[in-house]
Formats: sequence, structure tokens, C-alpha cells
Amino acid sequence: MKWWSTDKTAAKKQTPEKEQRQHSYMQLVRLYHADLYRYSCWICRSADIAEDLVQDTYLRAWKSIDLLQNEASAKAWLFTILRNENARRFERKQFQYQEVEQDLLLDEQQISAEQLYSQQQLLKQVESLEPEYSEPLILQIIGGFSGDEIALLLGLNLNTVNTRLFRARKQLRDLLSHGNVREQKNG
Amino acid sequence: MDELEVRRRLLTDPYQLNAEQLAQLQQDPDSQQFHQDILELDRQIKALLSPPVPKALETRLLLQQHKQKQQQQKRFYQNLIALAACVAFLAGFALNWSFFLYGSQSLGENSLAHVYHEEDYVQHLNKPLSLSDVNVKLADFDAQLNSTEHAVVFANYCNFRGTRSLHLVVDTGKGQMTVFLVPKENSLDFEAEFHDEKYQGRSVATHKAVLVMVSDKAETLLQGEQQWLRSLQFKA
Repeated sequence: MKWWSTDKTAAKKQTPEKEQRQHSYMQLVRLYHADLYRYSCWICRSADIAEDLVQDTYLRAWKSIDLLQNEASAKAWLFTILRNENARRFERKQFQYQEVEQDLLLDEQQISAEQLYSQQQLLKQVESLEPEYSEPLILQIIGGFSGDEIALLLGLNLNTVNTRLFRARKQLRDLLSHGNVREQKNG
Repeated sequence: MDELEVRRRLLTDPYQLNAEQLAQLQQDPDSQQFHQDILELDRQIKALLSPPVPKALETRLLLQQHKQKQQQQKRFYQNLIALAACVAFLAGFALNWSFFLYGSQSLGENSLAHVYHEEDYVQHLNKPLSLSDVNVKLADFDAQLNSTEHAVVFANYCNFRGTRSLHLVVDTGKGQMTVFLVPKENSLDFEAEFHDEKYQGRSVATHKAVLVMVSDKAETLLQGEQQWLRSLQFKA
């Protein structure tokens, strides 16, 4: 055995591993970037920052892609990274909490003024929820996560998450029906 | 399961229903309607919070990883070069250092260095040492001098690159000659003849030790060598 041949075999062994890693990364981007971007938009309230945040998230994901054991938990893993990155952003700079940019969220071309109004109402009401209620709800609706996954993501127990999900929807329905009643009264 | 509990469960998670819930839904049109309402509201919220994803985002994410990888590779090679430079520097340094420590490698160079080192002191010596004094020192090398045709004026131990040796200076009457007795197990390269601008020397390997003779005159060297080989005896 020549001294250099061991090096060569080591290099050959490494290559499929690297390819595997690259492949997983591409999969992560392809499958989850849209959902991550939407969630990012919700938590940053800004399209530009949301995009940066998603990029930071994927950069961090690439660096620690070896830690990802299970493909099935990849989405929750990415969301966790995004939440951490977002927290870091707040650490760096106290960020002004803005209203959601209207043009970011609404596709105005296809809807009537009435629909636009009701959408704006709904948005206001979703935003009026306490963050502790809206957070699990958004994760469920946008992220498509189960109660267990949300509990893991937010570091809460399942019962708490379930209670908050229930209250979030209940409050939202109450707000909407209340709004409708008022509308009807006005009309 | 009462109605309140049914609704509570649907409000908590309208997506993952268990068998019991599904059966209940099939029986009760009101619950079905309630379930659909919840899903509809969720759909609205999802539509509301689903801005169009920039088309370039995916490409950018893939590109960013590619760049990162290249950077890592570049950093790896930079580190490799830095490491190589470091090793080269240290090797150069060590080499220099070893030259400094073990400047002369061969027997001849080493002998000449010793001669020059003692040159000033030895020049003025003319008082012969007694044969027994010299033999005491020679005994350490299993050697013995039988006669004193020429006077030994200087006898001292010295260090031939880690090997304890004997440094003798003999007054031949026609000039001084230096004789080194170096044990056979030494770290120097054997050199039968050597010289520089001033001195010349010859080495003879015996079965016990190497005899190195250095003088500034060829004649002295020739005579001295013969005389020494005659009178010096090694114990078996």
C-alpha cells in the first residue's frame, strides 16, 4: 500500500457524501422555500427582510445540514432555524413592529372593492390576536404542522398548544361575527 | 362526546381528525357545516398571508449554497497553503538551527575546529607531561603509549559531536602535531585525509578507535603518524 493511495480512497469515499448533502439541500430548498417565505413574511412584516431571513435560514441550514437526521422533520427544523434567525435579528437591532404591508399580502387585481375590504378586516382581526394565540394558528395554517410539531417548535406542551389554537379560532370567529353584526346594523 | 367537545376539537385542529370525529361528522350535518366554515376561514387566512413567492428566491438560495461551498473550498486551500508555508518555514528554521549546532559534519572539519579552538593556548606549551599522566587518560580508551619519542604537551578530554574523545598535542621537535583519539562509535563521517589553507590531517581507523592527526607541516605529519602507530597500543 503506497502512502498516497489511502488518501485517494478517502477522497473517493467523501464524494458521494458531499453529493448527498448537496442533494438534501436542494430538496430542502425546492420543497420548503415557499412556505418558509410566507411564514417569514408574516413574522417580519416586510418582503425584503423576509427574503433576507429565508436566505440566512438556508445558509445556516447548509452549514449544519449534517445535524438533520430525519427527512420527515426537515420542515419543522427549517422553521425552527428561521425563528432563531429572526430572534437574532431582534437581538442585533430593535426592530420597529410594522403593520403588514398591504401590497405584500393582497393581490388587488383580481378582487372587488368589497372583497378587498373584507380581506383587510380579516387581516386586522388576525393581527389583533395576541401573539401567543396567532403564533400556533399561523404555524398550523401556513406551515401545515400538527399539534405535536407546533408544541416542539414553540417549546410548549401539547395541551397548551391545543388550548391556544382553540382560543385563537374562537376569538377570530367571535370577532368576525361581531364585525358582521355591526356591519349589518350599519347597513 | 357532546356538541361542545366536538366543536372544541374541530376548532383546535380541523386537519387531523380521528375515526371518532369522522364518524360523528358523517352523522351530523351541522358539525359538517361547522367544519367546512373553519376550513374556509383557514383558507382565507392562508390566501391572505400568501404573498407571491419571488421567482428568483429559489435560484438565489441554490446559488448562495454554491458560493458558500466554493468559499469553504477556497478557505480549505488557503489553510492548506498557510500550513505548507508554516511547515516550510519551520523546516528552514530547524535546518538552520541544526547547521548552527552541528556546523561541521565530517571528522576532518570537526578536528580542524578543535585545533583552531585550542590553537592560541597550545602554541606556548613546551613542558612535556609524564608518560603515566598521559596513559591514565589513554586508559579510558583502552589505549596505552609505550614510549615517549616525542613529548606530549597537552592531553585533555574533548567532545566530538557528542562523543567523548581525547585531544593530545605532541611536540615533535619540528613542530606541533595534534592527535585526536575518537572512539569508533561516533557520529561523524570518516575522512582519511583532509586539509584547509593552514593544516592538513590524516585519519587512521584501528579496531578500537579512530586516530586523527593534524599538523601544519606535511613532514611532521608523516613522521608523527608512523611514530604514533608504532608506540600506541590498544588492549585487546
